[in-house]
Amino acid sequence: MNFKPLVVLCVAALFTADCEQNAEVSIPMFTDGGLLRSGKALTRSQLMLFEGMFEVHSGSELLGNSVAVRTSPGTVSLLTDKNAGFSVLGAACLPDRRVVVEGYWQYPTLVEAGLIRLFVEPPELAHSLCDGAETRPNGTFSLSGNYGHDSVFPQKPLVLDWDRELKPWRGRFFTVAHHGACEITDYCGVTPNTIETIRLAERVGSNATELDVRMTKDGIPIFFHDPTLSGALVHGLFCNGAVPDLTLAELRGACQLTYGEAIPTVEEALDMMVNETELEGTYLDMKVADGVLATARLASKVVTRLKERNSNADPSDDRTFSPIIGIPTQEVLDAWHEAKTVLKSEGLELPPCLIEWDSDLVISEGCVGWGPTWTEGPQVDNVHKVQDAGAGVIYWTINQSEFMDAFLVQAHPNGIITARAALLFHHYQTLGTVPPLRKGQEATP
Amino acid sequence: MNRARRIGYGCMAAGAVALGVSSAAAQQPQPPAASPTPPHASATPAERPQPAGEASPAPEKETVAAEHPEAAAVAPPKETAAEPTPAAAPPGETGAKPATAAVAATPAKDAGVAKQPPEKKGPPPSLELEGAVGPSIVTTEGPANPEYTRSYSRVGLYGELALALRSSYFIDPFLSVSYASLASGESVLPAGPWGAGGTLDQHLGAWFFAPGVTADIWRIRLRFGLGVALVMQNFTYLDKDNSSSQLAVSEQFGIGANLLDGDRFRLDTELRFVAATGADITFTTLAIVARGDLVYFGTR
Repeated sequence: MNFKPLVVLCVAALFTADCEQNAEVSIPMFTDGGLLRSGKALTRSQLMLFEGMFEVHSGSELLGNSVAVRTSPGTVSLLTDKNAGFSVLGAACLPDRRVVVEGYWQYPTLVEAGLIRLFVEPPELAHSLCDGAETRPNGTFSLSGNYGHDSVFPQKPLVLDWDRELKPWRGRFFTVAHHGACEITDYCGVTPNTIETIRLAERVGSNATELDVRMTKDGIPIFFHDPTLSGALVHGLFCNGAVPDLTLAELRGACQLTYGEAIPTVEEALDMMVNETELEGTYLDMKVADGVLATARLASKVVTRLKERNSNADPSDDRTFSPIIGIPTQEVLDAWHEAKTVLKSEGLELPPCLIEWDSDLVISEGCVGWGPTWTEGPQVDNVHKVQDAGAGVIYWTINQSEFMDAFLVQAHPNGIITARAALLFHHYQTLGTVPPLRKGQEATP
Repeated sequence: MNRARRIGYGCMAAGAVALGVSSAAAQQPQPPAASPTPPHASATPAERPQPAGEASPAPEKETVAAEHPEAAAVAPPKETAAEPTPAAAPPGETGAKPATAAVAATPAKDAGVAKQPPEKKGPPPSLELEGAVGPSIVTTEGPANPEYTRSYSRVGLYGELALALRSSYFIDPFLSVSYASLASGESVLPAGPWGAGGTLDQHLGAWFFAPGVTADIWRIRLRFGLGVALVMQNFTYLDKDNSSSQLAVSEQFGIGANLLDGDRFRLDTELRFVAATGADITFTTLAIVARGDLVYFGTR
């Protein structure tokens, strides 16, 4: 038998095999810009009136049987447990005194997305919102309209009926975005560890972020996961090499991230999170020990600025945000000890810290949190010990609903790191228990 | 050089490997003693065909080989089987006297073989030194930030040195080291979080270390290599030089044509596709490949 063609075919197949994901990602948009363009955006206080659990009266094939609605500046988010789906919507009062809530929905792990257009029912409620009301009268409250697939005009019925208030979550339970809103394998159109994914993270259900810190050759902390510039995260003809060998100018000059973003510095991202979002904290996962001091200095600046801001006479600009130094290894812990000494000698505030492996160290080091891996199980006794000491517990990283449920029900943690924020937020609202207050914390209304 | 013979042996080798038979066994024509199923043995309907190398149920053939090795080695298998026809052997004696018949038949067949012209012998295996050089063009994306890019070139130069074992089969293994100066460019950065603005000079090169195989099919030469790439990135910014490197898996696939096939020297032209997976670099080169025999393993 002649095996030559077979050998040649096998070699050719090996050579041409391509494991990289090349799916096109497109976020649907209304072709005419939508109704929001002609309306007057609702205020932040008015958006808060939408927060709650809703029953899905029509459209359960898209959103499941219930949906958690939460809001962030300019955004109403529908968070479901169906395919970890989310909707990012805006709300505005139209000239005819209807209130429209429209935008797009997406299943992040699937190439499925579409448009949603809903209206506030009953009309009296819409009128009162258009008149500037910031309270919602008791009674029925529905969001009624349509959804569709891709950029096709929405035509399938979607009706959400108000069910109940959300369980307390601001300042109590942290849905921590793993590297940002989505994984690199998802179809969200944003790359992990970027300004863009941080912005989206808040809109898809997170109230905190976990981001990976590395150092450039010229000593600038940046957010980047891998030690080398792999084609999975960056592109560019001259974008090659190891991150610690390259300066920020070289990285920013030669590289773009997967969806065209720039590699952000920690300073840029902290400024953005404090000034442009309502995120309540970030977990700065120190991938390298030599970045601890520089990162701690930046975090310290944020803490100092927020203290000043919150102590002035104007309560309207008060802001709660914790830039937490995440300590995953003994080497980083040693660097943290040195950094604390330097910061004290410079008269700077110490930022909070979180230790990943040993719950006893959390207490002895005076850290605010323990971040155990979920693969060790719920470790309920250790969770209670840490919580009794006034610190919090945040597991990393749980993306599957059955594990979320088990950990939420058994351990009552203070948060979970996840790439499925919509799913976690929904499950916390349906199954979770509000965790105890941490040391120095007051209950948020 | 006898290309047809190389191909023929190559097919045998590939088949032997696929069947789990040693290549040494496949290389030589099988002596009659090892013939798996002689006609008279396979005449029993219930008997399974036996794989090569297993003991033959034909002791009389072994006897032939032992007593007349020169005849067994020369005669083609179907002729050495020399089963007596029903006319020559009465029923019931089919297995009783085939050895005698085979021995009797041998001289006539030997005479026929001796009349054929002697077969042309191919060159013995050799250690071959190969050198290749040619222009390269990067086929993956351009610079990431066009707004900063003043100029760039994705055309470079590729050079390779390799040692290959030129075997008796159609597949030859090789070990190669190559370097490619792949691309260069100039960008102008504004002032930013990195400090002052300035000109960023960039150069991309890569070393490749790859074992692989080539296959000669008439005058076409196919090549496949799988190894590692050391991607070298160099920058100059504000008069400061800097460099970094990263390892990646490399694959190369080539298709060439033999231009000159001398006694000890060969010249090819080859279109080669090289990829550094992980670093996301792919380039194509059109190289001139010179090959010469260094050492022969056997007499020419």
